[in-house]
Amino acid sequence: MTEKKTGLLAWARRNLGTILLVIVGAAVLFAGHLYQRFAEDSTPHYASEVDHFKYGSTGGERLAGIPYGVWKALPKMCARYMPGRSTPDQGYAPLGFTYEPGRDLPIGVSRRRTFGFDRVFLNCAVCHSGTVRETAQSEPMVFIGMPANTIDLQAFQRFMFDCVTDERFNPLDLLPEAEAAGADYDLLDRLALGVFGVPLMKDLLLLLRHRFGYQQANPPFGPGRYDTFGPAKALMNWDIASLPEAERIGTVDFPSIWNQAKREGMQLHWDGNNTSVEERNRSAAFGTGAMPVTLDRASVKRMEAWLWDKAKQPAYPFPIDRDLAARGAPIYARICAECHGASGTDFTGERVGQVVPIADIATDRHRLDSYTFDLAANQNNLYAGFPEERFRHFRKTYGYANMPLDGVWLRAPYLHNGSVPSLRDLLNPSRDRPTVFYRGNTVYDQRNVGFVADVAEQDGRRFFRYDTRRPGNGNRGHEGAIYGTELSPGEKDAIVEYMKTF
Amino acid sequence: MSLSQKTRRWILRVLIFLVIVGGIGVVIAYDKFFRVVEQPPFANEGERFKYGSLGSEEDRGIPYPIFVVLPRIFPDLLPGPGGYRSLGIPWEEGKPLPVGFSLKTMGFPRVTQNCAVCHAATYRTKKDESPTFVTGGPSHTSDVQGFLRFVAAAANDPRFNPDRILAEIAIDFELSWLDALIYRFILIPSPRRRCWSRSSSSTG
Repeated sequence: MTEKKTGLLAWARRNLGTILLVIVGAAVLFAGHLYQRFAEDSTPHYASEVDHFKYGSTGGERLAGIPYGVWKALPKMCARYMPGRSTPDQGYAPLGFTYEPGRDLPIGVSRRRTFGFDRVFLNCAVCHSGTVRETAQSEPMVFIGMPANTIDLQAFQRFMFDCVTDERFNPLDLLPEAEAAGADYDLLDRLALGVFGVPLMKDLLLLLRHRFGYQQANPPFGPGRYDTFGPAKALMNWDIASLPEAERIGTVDFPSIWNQAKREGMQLHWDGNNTSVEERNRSAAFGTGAMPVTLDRASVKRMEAWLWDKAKQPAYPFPIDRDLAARGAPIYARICAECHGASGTDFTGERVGQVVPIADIATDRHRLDSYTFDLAANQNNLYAGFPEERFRHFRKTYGYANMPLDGVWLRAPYLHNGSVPSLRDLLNPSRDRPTVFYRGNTVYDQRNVGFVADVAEQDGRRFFRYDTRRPGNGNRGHEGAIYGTELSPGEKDAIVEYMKTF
Repeated sequence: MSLSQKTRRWILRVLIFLVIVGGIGVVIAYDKFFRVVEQPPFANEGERFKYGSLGSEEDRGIPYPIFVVLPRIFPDLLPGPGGYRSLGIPWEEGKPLPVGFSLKTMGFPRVTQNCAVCHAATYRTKKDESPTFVTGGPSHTSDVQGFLRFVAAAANDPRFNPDRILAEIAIDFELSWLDALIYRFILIPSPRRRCWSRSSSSTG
């Protein structure tokens, strides 16, 4: 027998060591590549604190992040689920998101590379920034830290839920749309998204759709409002629909978030259920997907430090009648200051930041009743795995808290449920306040201090019709002599003018 | 007959290896299952009565992470929404556990019950008021049997499996790689076995 030294097998046998080395080397390199690719966790750094607040990450993308290409593709693929007469190239603007020139993502949406993909999700600014226009023709002015006035989170939710139950929400249809929208996926990306990414996103959205299902039975929130403690119950997997009827509606107006240092120790949230600014912040961060294990502590600390004593309310940008305001100052001091503080910068007042019993304030009690002793007890178990950070300040209260009024001109509509469109209306007894008005308009009403609320539709955009007769929407309370609703019209005008200086 | 020197050297090496591996195993087993960490000092005797351990960790004890997530996985086995509160168990706001429950680490953090589970009363003088806690009073709102039945029913439920429970734990707890393995292969399967036997003898 002659040896066939020219055969492939023989060649392989001669070079076995080299071949093994090449295979092992390639495997190691590939494993290294996979590790680098899927273990990377990075998020853009923003030089300014304001940009960090607008676009920085809370870490929520690690749990809830939508792959960037998918985020871009959905408004086109699911255009039919967008409200109103919108066009696909408007992105998420029809849901009330605000895009700044030169930015690809709207305010309140952050980005992080995690599990091998650029993923995006909401941050604090989505609920705590808004826009104001002088007239319907003016360019919008963006104000950071004010209560969001156009964003309709429930509509955003509904859009996502409708989209995820569409038959096209599957890798075969979705990934080409994402690539058409600008994503650049290689074979491994398509595999990872097809096998894990898209199905997991679908699972999570369907879970949220199920757990937030109780909201369907409640009056719609409209822009600038949300049921903020419903999700806490949903996170604990409570069957909210089986709760007593009085506990099921907790819809509130978003708050402003400037000047936090001065608020430490006050009873925070509308019902004053927590006295710790830091804990309140982490509680709110759950809404951005930031759970104990996903929270980006360094990034959130940076936002907190800015909110603590650097984020200040912006000055009223329109003319103020100084004489009228001067006449309003002593009336404010006499009637309002004890509960709401001496001014927009001086929060001293005997009852500032304290809870007034519901029988006295007499505003709509749904939000108060939706927050129960049982919920407080259970919430104090959040962050249980991180004993130093475990919540321990949540308490059931029996009224609503007196808020300082910094930047009050930007905080319309008023009362905890956003049921009174302007400051001037709030100084009227409830029978004279508008029964029905429209939310979501950014045009400013300089006379009454608030946003224009009597326009149903403008330039093809329909505003949200707020009906104060529906459960949770009541506009009663905060009325009577001690609340200023029995002052003369001239005195009321003077107080309102003075509060423009806050 | 004598083993060659080479063989003896090998046996010695294997023995040393086994001793080292066994030693490490013993240390890990001690650390993860038996090491007792005293509870942090209580502010007063009332607090100790409500949250102090009776020392029953050796015999029982639900791992704390499992205790935290059980109501979230099995809400349908509870009388209604509210987690453990739905059983009427008193829970002071701000505390990690209801009254009558103790948290003590013996290897892993273990939740056990103490006297206060039956002997801490609550009352309210009006509807719109948070409860006042009276240590030593009869726990007239607590469904203690309901609690035991809940735990037993959960342990006998198909959802009581490592994947489901670890996924829920991962929301609040960052388990190390080793701890995750211990939960997966020992701590999650074992209450299941124990509750099988207990449920057949006590709730039947």
